[in-house]
Amino acid sequence: MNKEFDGTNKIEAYLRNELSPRERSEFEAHITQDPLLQNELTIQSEIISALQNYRKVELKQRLNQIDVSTVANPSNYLKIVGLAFIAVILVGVGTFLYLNQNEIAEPTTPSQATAQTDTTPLPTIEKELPSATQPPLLSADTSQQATWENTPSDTKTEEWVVPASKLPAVKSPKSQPTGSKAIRPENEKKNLQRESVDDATKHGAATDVMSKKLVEAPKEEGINTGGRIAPNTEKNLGKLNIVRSDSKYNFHYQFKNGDFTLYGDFSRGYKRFFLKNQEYLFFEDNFYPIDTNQVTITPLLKVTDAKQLEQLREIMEQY
Amino acid sequence: MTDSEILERIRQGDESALDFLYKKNYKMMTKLVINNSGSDDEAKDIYQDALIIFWQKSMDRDFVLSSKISTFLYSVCQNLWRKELDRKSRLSSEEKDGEEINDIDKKERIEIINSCINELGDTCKKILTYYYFDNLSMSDIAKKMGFANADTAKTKKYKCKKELDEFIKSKYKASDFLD
Repeated sequence: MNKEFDGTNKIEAYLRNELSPRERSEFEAHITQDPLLQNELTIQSEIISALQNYRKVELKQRLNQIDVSTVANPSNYLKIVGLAFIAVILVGVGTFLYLNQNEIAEPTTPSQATAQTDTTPLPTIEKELPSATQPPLLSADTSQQATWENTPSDTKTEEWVVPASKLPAVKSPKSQPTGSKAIRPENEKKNLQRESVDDATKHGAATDVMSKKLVEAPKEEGINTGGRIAPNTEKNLGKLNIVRSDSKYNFHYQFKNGDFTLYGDFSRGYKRFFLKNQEYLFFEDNFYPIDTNQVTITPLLKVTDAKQLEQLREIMEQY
Repeated sequence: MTDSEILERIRQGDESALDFLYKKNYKMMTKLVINNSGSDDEAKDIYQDALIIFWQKSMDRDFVLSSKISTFLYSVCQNLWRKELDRKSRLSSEEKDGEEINDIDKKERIEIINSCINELGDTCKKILTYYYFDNLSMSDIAKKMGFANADTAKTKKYKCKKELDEFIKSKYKASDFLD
C-alpha cells in the first residue's frame, strides 16, 4: 500500500513538474524499464488532464453567463462622446444665431418682423395694402383695436390684436380705411401672424415667447362710455412679459422703459389687452387695470365695477 | 480595480475578479480574432481560453506580470488564434489513419474518465479541480472549502483522488483497457 502510495505520489509529482531534475531523470529511466508504471503514468496523465478540462469547462460556463452586450467599446465610447460634443456645439451655435437673428429683427416694424418669422403665408392683406406707401400692418389703422396678450400655462405668451367688430357694444364704423377694408372677420383667424418677442428670453422670462397679431379695420366702440378703443401699438403692450417670482412683491407689476414686468406666480396663464386707452390684465377670472406709466412696482388691483366687469367678460367670452 | 488588485484576488481564487477582467477586455480581445477572419464564437472561445491561461498562470507564485494584464491577454489571444488557424489548415490536409485509431481509443478512455468525474461528489470535484487545475495550495483549498486546516484538505484530496482512480480503473477493466 505504501509502495503504491509512493508510486502514485511520484507519478503525480512528475506530472505536476514538482520533481528536481535529478529525481526527474531517475524517474524517466525507471519508467522505460517498468511497463506497469508506464501504464499507470498514462492513466494518471489522462485523469489529471480530464480534471483540468473539467475545471476549464466550468470556468468557461461561468464566463458565458456574463452579459457582454452592454460592454462599452472604447472606440464607440469615443465616438459617442465626440458626437455628443458636436451636438452641443451645434445647439449652442444654433441658439446663438437664433438669438442674434431676433435681435436684428427687433428694430424692424411689426409687419417686417412678422414676415421674417412667420411660417404662415401672409394672406391677402398685404396684396390689398399699397405696398410701398402703406404703413406697417399693425400701425396702418389701429386706432380702434383692442390688443390681447395671452400667456398659456406652458409659458408661451401670445399677444393678440382683436378685431373691434368682435367687441361688445361696438358701434358701426363711420368709415374704414381702404387698406384694412378687405380684411373680413372670417379671415381673421387665417391672418394670425406669429412674431417672436425675443427680449423675454434675454430677461430670463419664458424662453419661447411668441406673439400673435390679428389686424382688423378700426371700428368705433366703447366699453363704459362708448369711447374709442385706443390705437393698438406694440408700445402699448410693452415689449416684454416677464414673470418673476419675488418673495417681496407678490402679484405686482411694473411698466418701466417699455418693459412690462409681472411679479408673482402667473404660471396658470394670463391675458393682456388694451381697450379704450386702458390696458388690462386678465388672470383667473379677474381683470386688473394696468397703468402703462407705472414705473414703480405696484400691486395689481382688480376691477370691481359690475358694469365694467360685465363688458370685459363679454369680450373675454369671445376669445 | 488595478491590475495588481486583480492579480491578488485571482491568486486567492476569487472568480469575480475573473468576471471583471473578462468584461473589461471583451471587445478589444474579440476584435483581434474577428478582424483576422475569425467568427464571433471563435473570438469568444479564444478570449476565454486566454483568460483561463492567465488565471492558471496567476496561481503560480513565481509568475511575474511584466506588462499590463490586457497586453498579456492580447499576446496570448494572438498565439492561440495563430495555433487555431494552423490547426484548421492542417485539418484540411490528409490525416493519418493510425492517428485516427489512437484517437478513438483515447477518446473512449477520456469519456470514461469524464463520466467518473461527473459521478464524484461536489466536494471531491472542487478539491481535485482546485488542486490540479487552479494549483491552489492545501491551505488555500482548506480556506475555500471551509476545512479546519491544510492537513484536512490533504487527506480529503487523497481520498477523493483514490476514489476517482479506483472508479476509473474498474471501468477500464470492464472495457478491457487494463489487460
